[in-house]
Amino acid sequence: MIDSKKLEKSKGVVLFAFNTKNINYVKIANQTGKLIQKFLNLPITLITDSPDQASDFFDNIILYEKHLSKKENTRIGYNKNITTWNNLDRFSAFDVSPYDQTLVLDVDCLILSDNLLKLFDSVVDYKILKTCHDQENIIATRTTSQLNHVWATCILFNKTDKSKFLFRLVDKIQSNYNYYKNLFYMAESNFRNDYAFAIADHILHGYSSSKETAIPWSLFTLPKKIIQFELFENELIKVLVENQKPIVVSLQDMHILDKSVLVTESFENFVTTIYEKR
Amino acid sequence: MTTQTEVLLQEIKLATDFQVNKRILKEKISTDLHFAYNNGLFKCSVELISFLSSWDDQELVLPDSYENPIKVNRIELLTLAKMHYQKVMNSWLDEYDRLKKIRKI
Repeated sequence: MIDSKKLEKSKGVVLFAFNTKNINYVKIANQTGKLIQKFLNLPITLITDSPDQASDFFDNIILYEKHLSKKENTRIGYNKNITTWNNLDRFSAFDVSPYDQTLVLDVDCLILSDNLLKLFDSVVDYKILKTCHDQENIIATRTTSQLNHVWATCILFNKTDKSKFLFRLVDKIQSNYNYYKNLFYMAESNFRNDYAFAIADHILHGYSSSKETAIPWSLFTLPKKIIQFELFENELIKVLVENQKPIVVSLQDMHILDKSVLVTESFENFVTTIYEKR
Repeated sequence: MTTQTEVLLQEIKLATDFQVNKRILKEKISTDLHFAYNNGLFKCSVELISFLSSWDDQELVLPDSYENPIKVNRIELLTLAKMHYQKVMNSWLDEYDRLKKIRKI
């Protein structure tokens, strides 16, 4: 008799968190993990070099010692300041993920709905976030390249040959970034996962854009400096943004570019309130 | 400036922009309208519901959001689409009303 459970594909989330001098990414991942458990109820694997700081919300913690993320990646961030990321290991998600179907998320992507679960059944090889919007409907992406923007913030993949090729290609692009950035007229000199995945996705589709691999909706993104998140009036979120009127939104997934707010105690309290609600 | 005016000015400064909140909510609802069926991903719309309501055959093939042909059971998909549409539209109205209420200073 065939065991139907064995035929079911395993599903899970993979997060990468390597601390920098200024930001404790594992601390952010702890909050993200809590929200993932609440809204997606999927097992989570954390890939990190600081496992001692990880919370109980992770099912697996992979200690990544030989990681490239030890090499700092510096560029001018959303706030025009020089920012450091330790984010050069994303291409390895395919090999390290223990799941048949994997959702790779940036730790600054707050999961506040179950919308991403809808994608698992329809994904053939991979799907990647291609559209974001902010409160003004303007998100600065690239200006020089003709490539469509891709956000490596959220990638869903099955362990297929095509997905494997995507991640191998990202590795190759990363290793030869100067060549590829010139080939595709990227103005920025420093490596960005978004660009590497955009190039790889483009090459995989015969040097053309493909809607087939896009997550078919846009992710709400907050690009400005945030002072605080508040939950009020039965599941409305008030976001206090520096030098701007506050924004009020209902529970939805959001991408937060300002990492400093995500390591505050008030953010921890905000996540705890949501987690304990309902 | 009197203290009362100062307080009022401060409150205006902290007041949220209804039009911005409304736009963000509309985008959220557009995301919520998606639903999975038979390994396809569909976006619930009045066109989809009207089409399924007017078709005669029990089974048909429809393109999903990714332009993949998906074999569907008309009644099953129609029931699912109507239920999902109703749920999302109700939450839109509810959340819209709540946003309207908080625009008052």
